[in-house]
Amino acid sequence: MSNIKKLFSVLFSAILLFSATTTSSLAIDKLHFVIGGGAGGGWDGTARGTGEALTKAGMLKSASFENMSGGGGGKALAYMINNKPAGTILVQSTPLVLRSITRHEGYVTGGGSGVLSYKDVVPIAGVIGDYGAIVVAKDSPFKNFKDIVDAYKKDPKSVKMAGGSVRGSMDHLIGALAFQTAGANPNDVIYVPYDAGGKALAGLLSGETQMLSTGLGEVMGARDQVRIIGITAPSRVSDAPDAPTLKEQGYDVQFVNWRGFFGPPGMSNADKSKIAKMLGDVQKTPEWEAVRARNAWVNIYNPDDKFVSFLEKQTKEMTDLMKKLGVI
Amino acid sequence: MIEGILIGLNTALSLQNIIIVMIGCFAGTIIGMLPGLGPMTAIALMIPITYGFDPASGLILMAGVYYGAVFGGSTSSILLNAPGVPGTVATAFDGYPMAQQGKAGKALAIAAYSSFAGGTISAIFLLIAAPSLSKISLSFRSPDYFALMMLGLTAVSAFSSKGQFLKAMMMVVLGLMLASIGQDSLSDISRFTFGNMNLSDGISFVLIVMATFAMSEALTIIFRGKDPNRAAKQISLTELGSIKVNKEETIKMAKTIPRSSILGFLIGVLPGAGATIASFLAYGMERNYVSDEEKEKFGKGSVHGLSAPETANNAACSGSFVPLLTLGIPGSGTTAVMLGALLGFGIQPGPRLYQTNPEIFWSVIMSMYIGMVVLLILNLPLIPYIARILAVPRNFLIPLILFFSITGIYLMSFNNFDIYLMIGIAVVATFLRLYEFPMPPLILAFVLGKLIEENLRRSLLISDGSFSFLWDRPLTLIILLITIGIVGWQIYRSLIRK
Amino acid sequence: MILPEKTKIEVNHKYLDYKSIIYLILISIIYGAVILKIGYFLSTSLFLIASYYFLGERRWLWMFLLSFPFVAIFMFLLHGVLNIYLRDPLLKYLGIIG
Repeated sequence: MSNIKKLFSVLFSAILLFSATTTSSLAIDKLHFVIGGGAGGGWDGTARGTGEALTKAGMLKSASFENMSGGGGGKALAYMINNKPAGTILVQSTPLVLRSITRHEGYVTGGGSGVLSYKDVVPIAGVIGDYGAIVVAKDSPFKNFKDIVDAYKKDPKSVKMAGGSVRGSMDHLIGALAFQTAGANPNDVIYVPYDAGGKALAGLLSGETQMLSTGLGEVMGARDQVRIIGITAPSRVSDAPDAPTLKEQGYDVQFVNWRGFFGPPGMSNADKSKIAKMLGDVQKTPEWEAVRARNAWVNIYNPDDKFVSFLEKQTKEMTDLMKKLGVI
Repeated sequence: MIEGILIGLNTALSLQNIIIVMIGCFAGTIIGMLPGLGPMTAIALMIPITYGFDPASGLILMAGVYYGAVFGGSTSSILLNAPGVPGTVATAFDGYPMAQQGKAGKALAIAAYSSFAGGTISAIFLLIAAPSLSKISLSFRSPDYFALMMLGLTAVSAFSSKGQFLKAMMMVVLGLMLASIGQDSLSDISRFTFGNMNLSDGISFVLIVMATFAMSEALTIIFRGKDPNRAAKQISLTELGSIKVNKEETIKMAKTIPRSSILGFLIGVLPGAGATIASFLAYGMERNYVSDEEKEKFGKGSVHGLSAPETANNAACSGSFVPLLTLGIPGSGTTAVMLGALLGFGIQPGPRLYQTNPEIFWSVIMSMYIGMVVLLILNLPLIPYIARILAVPRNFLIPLILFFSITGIYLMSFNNFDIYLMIGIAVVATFLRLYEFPMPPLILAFVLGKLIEENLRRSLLISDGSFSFLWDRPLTLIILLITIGIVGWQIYRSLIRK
Repeated sequence: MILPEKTKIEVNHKYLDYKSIIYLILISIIYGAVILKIGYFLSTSLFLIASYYFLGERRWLWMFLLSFPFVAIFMFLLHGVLNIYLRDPLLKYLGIIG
């Protein structure tokens, strides 16, 4: 009896082994990640984290990471569009959509839409996201988003909104979107840009601004000093269960800063689907969970065509908002 | 607190953590020497390793790399005029001239003692006052930063002795102009980029420094190589490697170190400033304290001028742990990466950190002392050998400096446009040097210009366009009055002398 | 203090080594142009050898030691130990790096 069991298990594992080798020889076993910013940045963390999970989970034999800074990520994007490298994927996030709306014409020599846009690369999948957050200091008189809107309606100049990047950036748009939903003219909200999330946070806590609009991830470190009065998620997130959503306060604002991967133009559909599937499957593994947990990422796996239609929708929303803000 | 110190000592003095500090300091020193690879990159690349450790050890490793890098950066500043990290740019102002006078070993030793003292003294501040210091972090608003950066700009006078004022001012203007290239930091509009994407992020500070300092210095040595008046002086190797600091120099250091430590630490505590600004401010302020005779030596190998920025940048590094640990606010890219790692360990920075994870807080501070001792022990015996780099024949040394500068810039962006840009700036700088235009004012204006503009415009935005922010807050007003006082005093002195 | 210095700065162009500096600048520009095309290893090594040569160095052993092996060790530390990706199509073609 036990012999038969043994035989079965040997046979079974042989078949498993065989099937594993056949699939892996067909699949992509090496990936090169192109990162449009330096080591230590958000894109860098996403690419290296994803690559680490993929290799540790055995889905890839090796992953390499190339940092290619310049033009706010435009250099790396132009490299993908112009050189069409094989076996290479690019990490990108919401600013790619904003970039394709606003500017940077004439950087591309290899054809395409003429601006650096997600349409010129092959969207593979969105993998993780960070929701926007409206934050005030712990001792602020504002307890919820309605308080801020009321104060704003009384005197639009009394609420100054800080953010960790320039006018027209994601931080600005998150806050503007919230005010717009509350029935205010987002263009009247005074936005005070800082050159990094940490400095905007310091500005808020020093009392020179009354609220901060930024990504939830940016304020996780200072959770003891601030009150998160609204996040742009559909429902509360597990890493910050005490942070209410704007939706539950009656302002249906939903915004996610996605991070995802793109292939070079001309990438075959088969390759695209394989990588997209791999990026989805890895999210079910404990190796991914370890990486995700330590970075407090939110899984928003969003592959292929769904990703494309999401990008189209986001482009439309952001174009409307940015027109109102007068940044385009 | 005594209990906390004991907990910290217990953790920091474990064999494992001492080894980790040593590895961190050593790796940091090596990485810090290479321009373009700073503590931020080093720490970001080390994070995967630190997740194998417990949180205290992980943070100790990162802190070790951080101040090790600042330590190492000064070595390349002094020997090659090629600052390894931005915080050690001001070290080159007097360190490099001193090394060129054949006193490389002495310059390195002074830098090492100053770093050690700055790091140790500021770790004491951190130990006794970190929680209350977090208030200082938050007391500075945009108008105050504006005033502080204006104060920093007065350091330009250090390079305008002997009727060089006009030239120094011209370099300031050039620096401000270069600083305005790239995407406007408030409104996202590209300025002076000529539609070139490579310029849209602006010119990096390290690139400007490497071009105007290291590369143009190397080119100048070749360019003027035939000049009989500048013929290479015979540098004696024993003198080059000697790390002996005489009594007079020790007294000078003893005066400089306390004031620079305090200044550097306080500037480091501010999230909107950091080690680079701290070293520039310390350099400029130091010149106001010393005698007229000593003032003239600034920029030509002054002990004060070398010791002040070296003390301040290490003190500022320790200072930057205040907002990081007590508030969860990162003031720089490096501390932002460290914050990410802390959160990854499941540690929430903030006032509660003392209660929830006392061993983290205390062991990091304790490991700073150990790290400082390790760095001193590691570096002092090596100085005579490292200083011998200057004895390498010119035909090898110059190409290696060029390689060092170009690779440093390449490692920052992996973009060959930056190489062309650096060569271009270096060529212009070489000709400017020929006519004795000083380069430090350009650097100073470049780094401060961006911050002045940003904080001024932000202040105006917050005050709804009114300039009243200049006198609304006592802090702003005091800093501005000090600035005006320094400028006025110097004008008065020069008139008196005539 | 404010008025410019009266003494003129004499620059004797006879003593300026235009030839060497132009060579060095040209080599640097070529280095920048090929660093991504032929890769870090070969371009850097050739850059170093060429610079040594044009500065008048003829000790070939030292010139060799301070180029190819030197760059190889440097690259190993960056690429292998620190995991900083250096684009190098040549070494990739030879299968030395991934």
